[in-house]
Order: sequence, then structure tokens, then C-alpha cells
Amino acid sequence: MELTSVLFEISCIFLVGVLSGFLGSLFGIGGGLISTPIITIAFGLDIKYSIGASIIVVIATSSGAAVAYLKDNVLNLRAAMFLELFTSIGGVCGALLIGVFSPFILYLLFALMIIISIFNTIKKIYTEKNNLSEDVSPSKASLYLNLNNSYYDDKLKRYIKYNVTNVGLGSIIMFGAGIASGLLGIGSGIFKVIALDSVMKMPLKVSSATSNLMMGVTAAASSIVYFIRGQILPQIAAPLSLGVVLGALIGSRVMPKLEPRLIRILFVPIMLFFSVQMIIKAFMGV
Amino acid sequence: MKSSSNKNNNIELKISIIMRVGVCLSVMIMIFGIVLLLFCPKEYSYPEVISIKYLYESLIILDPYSIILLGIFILIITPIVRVIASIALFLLEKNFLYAIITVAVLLILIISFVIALFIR
Repeated sequence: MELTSVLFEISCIFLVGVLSGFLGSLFGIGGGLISTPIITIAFGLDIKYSIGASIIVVIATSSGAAVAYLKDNVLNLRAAMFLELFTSIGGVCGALLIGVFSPFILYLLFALMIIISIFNTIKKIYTEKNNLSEDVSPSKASLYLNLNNSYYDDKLKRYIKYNVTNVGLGSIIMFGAGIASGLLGIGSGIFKVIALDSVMKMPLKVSSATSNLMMGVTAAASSIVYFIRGQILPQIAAPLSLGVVLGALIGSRVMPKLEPRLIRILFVPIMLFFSVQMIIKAFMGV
Repeated sequence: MKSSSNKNNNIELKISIIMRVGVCLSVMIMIFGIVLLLFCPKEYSYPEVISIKYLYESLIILDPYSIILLGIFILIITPIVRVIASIALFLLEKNFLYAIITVAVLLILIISFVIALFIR
């Protein structure tokens, strides 16, 4: 175990972490879908260790980003907790349903859903003029649950009040995202952002931050199991999570300063990357 | 409406402090472990099960891998500590609706942990 080669490996993993944490906190996704293919291909890691590392990436992104987001109130804590109910119940159901549904169909289904939202996102890029969600009227459910809030938009330099709607449909999608997580071991951050942003009409920045928070909670429970089973390799997970925390700290500071339109534009290639991954996973039976 | 948004900002501020402490602690311990590993290189033993007993025994002899694992463990439980703290803070602010919601989330997490441990 030569020192320089070990240092080199650790630094590479660290950089992969920074990238994953940065993109994860920017878009409200876990970052696992970014780091896992890179680490698995570069290091030829066994699948169970890859999933272990991926879960740690999700938690590290979530915690690293939450530090910045909670302060700026870009986070909707109540929405996160309420919707987390559905996601975690979905997670339990998903884990129980392993072996019942064919992963092939599921991966293709998710790839299809992501491709549909790519078209949706592109449409939004061209049609959404102000990107201000101030003209959404609150639904009765959102009023009762006190989900409507305001956040300080760093780019526009003012508080923006927003309302939330379609709570029921949003909850169902969160439940579905939870099932996806439990069944396939993915973070499902991408579906959470879609639910919050497109369905519940939450501003994109708040959706991203809220999704981040939710994912940390969901990932934490299952990651303890991986930890106990020794499926988290310290020599991989540590430099990875250190990088992710740094990336997430940077990303969560940058994200509020960007125009939502720009975030959407950057999100499209990422979504494309994910849907390709899903299709590959479907056919590889992994 | 202003007073309730102030109350909520208060909760969020306190929770962010907990997150910061958890992340800082975890990062520092992981860095310490990695530095130790670089100075005294060892091969990883790939234990089958990482129990409290295993951690205790290997931390005492300053096994760098176990120190790193400790840091990872603190990172993992930080979101859970945050959920528990949210419950306490919601109760303090007399927000019973969300205290109950968050308790329910915690219960479901515990259930999912138990299921994952015994069924898979």
C-alpha cells in the first residue's frame, strides 16, 4: 500500500464526492446516481459496497446542504416532514415488495417518467417567464397544514411568498418515490423535486432544498442497516462523504443565487444521464 | 401570520445548529481517522458485522478504520437526531400537529430499520 497511490485514490474519490455533493445540493437530488457509476466503474466495486457508498452520499448531501438551507428559510420544514410521512411509508412498502415486481419493468418505468419530465422541464424553460410562483392560490389542505410560506430569494433580493397546492397528488407521488427508494435502492430525489416543483407548485429553489432534506431522513434509516452489515467501506465512504459535504456546502450557497431557469437548463442533461442509467440498469438486470 | 413565521424560523435556526454540530463532528473524526491511516497504513479487515462490541474494541486500540467508521456513523445519525430534535422543538412551540407528524415519521423510520435488519 504505497502512500502516494493511496493519497491519489483518496483524492480522486474526494473529487467525485465534491461533484456529487455540488450537483446534488444544486438540484435537490441525492448525488448517489452521480457518484455510483463513477466509483463502480473506476474502482470495480462490488454492488453491495456501491449501494452502501451511495446511501452515504445521499446523507452527506442532505446534511451538508441543510446547514445552509435551514438558515435561509429556503427549506420548507413542515412540507418536508408532512411529505416524509408518505415517502417513508412508501420506503417500507418498497422494501417489502422486493422480489414481487420485476426490476426490469420498474427501471424502464422510471426512465420513462424521467424522460417525460425532461420534456416538461424544457417546456417550462421556454414558457415560464418570471419563474415567480406568487400567483398560485393555496389549496385547503395546504392552508390547514400551514405549508404555505415565504423565502428570501437571493437573486431577486426580496422575500417571495408562495403557496402550495395539490397536496394530495403530491403525497401520492412522494409515496411512489418512497416505493422506488425501498425497492430499487435509489434516492428518488429527482421524483421528489418533480412532485414539489411541477405538481405542488413550490418554487424551484424551495423544492430543491426541501427534497434534499427529505432524502437525508429516508436514507438514514436504511444506511444504519448497511453500516451494521459492514457494507460501508471506510476507505471509500470517508473521502467520498468528505467531498460530498464540501460540494454540498458550496452548492447550497450557489443555488439560491441562480435563476431558476438556469437551474432547469442545467438539470436537463443530468436527467438525461439518469434516464440512460435506468435503461442500462433495466437491461443489465442490476 | 408574521408571528408564526418567526416562530418557524426559530425552530429552523436551532435545527441547523444541530446539523452543523453533527456534520462538523463527523468530518473531524473522519479526517482524523484518514490521517491516522496515512501515517500507519493497514489493510482493512472487512468485518462481517459491525457491532457495538466490535467498534468499542477497535476504537480502544485506535484502529484508524474504526475511527473513520465512527465518523460515518455520526454522519448517518445526524438526520435522525434532527428529526428527534424537531419533535421536541415543535412541542416547545406548541405546534402539536407537526409534533405528531414528526413522531409518526420517526416511528416509520424505526419500523423500516427493523424490517431491513430482519427481513432482507
